[in-house]
Amino acid sequence: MLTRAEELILLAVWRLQEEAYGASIRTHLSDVTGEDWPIATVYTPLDRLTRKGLLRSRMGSPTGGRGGRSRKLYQLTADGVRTLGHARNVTEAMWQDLPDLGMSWS
Amino acid sequence: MNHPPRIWLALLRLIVHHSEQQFVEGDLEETFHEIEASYGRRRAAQWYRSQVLRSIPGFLLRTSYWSREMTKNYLLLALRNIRKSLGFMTINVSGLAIGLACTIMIGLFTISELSFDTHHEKADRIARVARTSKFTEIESRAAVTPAPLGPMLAANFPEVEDYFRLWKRQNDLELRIEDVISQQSNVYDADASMLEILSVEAAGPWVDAPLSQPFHMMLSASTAERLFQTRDVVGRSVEVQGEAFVVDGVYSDFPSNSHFRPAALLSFATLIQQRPELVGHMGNNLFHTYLLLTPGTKMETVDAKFPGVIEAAAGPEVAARLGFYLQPLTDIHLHSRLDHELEVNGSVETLFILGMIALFILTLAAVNFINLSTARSARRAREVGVRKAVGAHRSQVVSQFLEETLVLSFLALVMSLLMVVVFAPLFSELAGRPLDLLMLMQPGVVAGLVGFVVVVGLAAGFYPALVLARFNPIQVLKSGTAGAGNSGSPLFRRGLVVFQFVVSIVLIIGTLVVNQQLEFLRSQPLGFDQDQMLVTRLRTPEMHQNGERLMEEYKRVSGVSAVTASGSLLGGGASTVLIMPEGVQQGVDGVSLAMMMVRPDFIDVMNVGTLAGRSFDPERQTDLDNAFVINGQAARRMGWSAEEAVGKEIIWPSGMDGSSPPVRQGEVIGVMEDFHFASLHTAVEPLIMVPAERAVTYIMTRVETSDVVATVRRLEAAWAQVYPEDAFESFFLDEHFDTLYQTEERSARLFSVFSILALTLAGLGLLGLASHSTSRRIREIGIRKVMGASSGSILGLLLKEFVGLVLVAFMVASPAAWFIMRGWLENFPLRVGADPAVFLTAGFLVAILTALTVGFHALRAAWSDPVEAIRCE
Repeated sequence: MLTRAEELILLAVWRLQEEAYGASIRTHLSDVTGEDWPIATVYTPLDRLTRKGLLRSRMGSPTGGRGGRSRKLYQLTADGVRTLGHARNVTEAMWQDLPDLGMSWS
Repeated sequence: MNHPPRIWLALLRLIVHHSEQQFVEGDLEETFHEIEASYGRRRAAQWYRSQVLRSIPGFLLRTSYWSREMTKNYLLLALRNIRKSLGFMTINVSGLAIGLACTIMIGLFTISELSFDTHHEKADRIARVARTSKFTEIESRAAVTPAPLGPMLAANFPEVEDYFRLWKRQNDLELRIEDVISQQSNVYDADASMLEILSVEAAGPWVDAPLSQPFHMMLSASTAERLFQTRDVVGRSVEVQGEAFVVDGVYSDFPSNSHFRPAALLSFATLIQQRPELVGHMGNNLFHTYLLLTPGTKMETVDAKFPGVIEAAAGPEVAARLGFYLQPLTDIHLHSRLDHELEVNGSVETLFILGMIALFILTLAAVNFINLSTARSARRAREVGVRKAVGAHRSQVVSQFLEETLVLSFLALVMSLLMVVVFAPLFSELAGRPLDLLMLMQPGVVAGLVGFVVVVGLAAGFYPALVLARFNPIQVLKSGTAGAGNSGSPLFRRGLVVFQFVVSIVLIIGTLVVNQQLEFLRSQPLGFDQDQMLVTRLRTPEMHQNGERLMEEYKRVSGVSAVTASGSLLGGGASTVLIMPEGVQQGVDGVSLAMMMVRPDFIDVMNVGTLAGRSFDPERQTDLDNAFVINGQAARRMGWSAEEAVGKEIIWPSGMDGSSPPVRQGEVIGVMEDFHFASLHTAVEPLIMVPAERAVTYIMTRVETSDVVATVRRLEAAWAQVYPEDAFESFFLDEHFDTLYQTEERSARLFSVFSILALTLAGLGLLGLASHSTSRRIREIGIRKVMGASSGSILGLLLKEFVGLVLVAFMVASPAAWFIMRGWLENFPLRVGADPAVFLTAGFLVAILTALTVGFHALRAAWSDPVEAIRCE
């Protein structure tokens, strides 16, 4: 099972495609969730996901704007996509036909 | 363009593992610039700070994870490296292990010596009263005091809370339980307060108020078990020297680090009832007095009060000559060497010398380890080059080396502990005391050892790691060794080698000098004939009564050529008396001389040479009643030559004032050569000999050489006729003299062992360094050979480097060693001088060792195929 953070990060990598690296993922997550994610909380799940084989990483070439330092770029693996699909199914199944509690939620 | 705030960047670098630094920093900087562009520098800096701070816990966790992963990798590498060069690693590790083992053993010994008597709960408040007296020229210091002193101090000094007194009974006291008789030493009469003051622990049931009644006693646990096979012995009866005592209880044996260890305690009340004259008189200095001071009392405050008290009690004349002072209980073992100690105490000097040796050997071993590791690592330049080329960080190279040396130094620790377990019995024998290996389990000791090993491991790895990590990988890869030759300044490494040589040479010289001195002492003519002289001792005054009869019996034994006796044992010293020589006013200026009571024929039987006059003639009554025989020193002390002394009148007064008739008064009839009546540790002192019928304490029987064993057996039979109840104990005089030098012999053996160890360590170190230095010059040697150099000239070239170092070390070590050994030799009035042979031998030994170790490598290099050497370019 993916944690929430892992799920969000996988989704971010999917969306960012060729541009998925620490800074862009962090910014994207912060924008979507409205919270400033500390960089360490991005890298820990990234590593874990890489070790699980859901992501693969490679070093990019050095670029400007970041003091000539390389990026570590991430990419979804087939396993990653499959796991995300599964996670989505689970979420949708859980949402399916929930009774109305009389409280507004969206 | 602006940079993120440096301080936060620095913090970030601290917490982020170097494997991640690059992209983490980049990520943050990128976003920082984006924020800066839209919201300004302040907002961006704020954001950066909060990012770093909030990331601390996360990154720290991740960093430790990475380190663990890397460590696993390095440990594997370290083990592979060790396996790859097993021989070298064995040398390196065992060198350090030997050093550690020595230090551990010496350390344990030191700890146990320092811990003497500290186990008593009130140890810091307990003191022993020592006495100084100056009734002759020489001030004497004794551990014994009169019995009334303790109660007197407790009554008059508010600082003294309590006291107890000890009286040591003679050795081999006879204990009898029903019909079983056994001998027991270390039996003391003690005040009941001792149990409280020394916090003596019960090891079995006790009665209420033990030791308070006359003829009551207590037993130590081991004694009780030996005598009764149980500890439940309250109320049982033990006959001590024919008198019945009731057992009050059993106490735990005093630990081995106590300055006295009573096997049994008799109540002091017994002594008060049995020998009131002994206990009641201020003149009987027979007792050891211990005081318990009130908390916070300084010993000096009590010391300062003694003179006044003595003066008030005995007048100013006595006060000028007599003094008391306190010795802290915990200082007695190491610092007290008074007359009449309860047991043989330790010596701070020995401890100090041992400590120095331990320090030297440990330094040597550590230096070696560091040195060898450094030399070794220089060969791994290529490996480092590859690692750096594929992206190893400098800190990774450093930590790889550190981990390797740490693994090695911990291996050495394990090995040294094994060595300690194996060699502890040997060391115990050398040191004369058992080692308590359990002390190794103490947290302080464990922490110390681990700490030391970590420091040595780090030091050994750090230096090469720093040097290697600095290499330019391209250069290293191209040449294979470039820069490796510069690893470490040659001066530094040479300094280390010289240091090792110095230590080795000093220890060798020490060993040789101690052995020489011992040999010298043994070969000294004693001035009398000690060969084949069997000594039997009459142990009690009761036995003396039959001494005459025993001597007659001995004379009848076949194989005995002569029998004589003396009141004190040759080699054991003599008592001191005050003598008034002729021409000196009585009571003014006595001369203190050592005195021996001897049988009239003693001088002739012992073959002591005569300087002038004659020895005692048993046939002349005047000789027996009035005459004196002195030695040459005594004649000199009284201001006479040997010839002048004969015929002079001297007086042995009975008191200082001369009011009572003298003990003896008469002529000096002869002056003897200065024979060694005491041990050779002291010069021959002035001696006066007095013939006495009752001088039969030590009966000396000269046994003919043909069949010693049978003769001794016949002597034993003769003894049994006179003393059917007592055991026959005897020893040969020359053996007794040998035992006088046990301490020196022990030092000699200790020195030998340690200098062999130091040499081994130095040899190991040299081996490693030689291999390093030849391998560095392998190409040079190859080229030289191609150019036609002979093996001999190459050998010379390589040896030259080390021969100079040996010379320098020799120059430093010789004066240092002589300085140290002169101090030791000053303990002996008869001593060997500086023997150049000793120094040359030491230098020669080290030179040979150098030639062998260096030569081995040099020859290998010299004989190798030059093509191989040069091709490696």
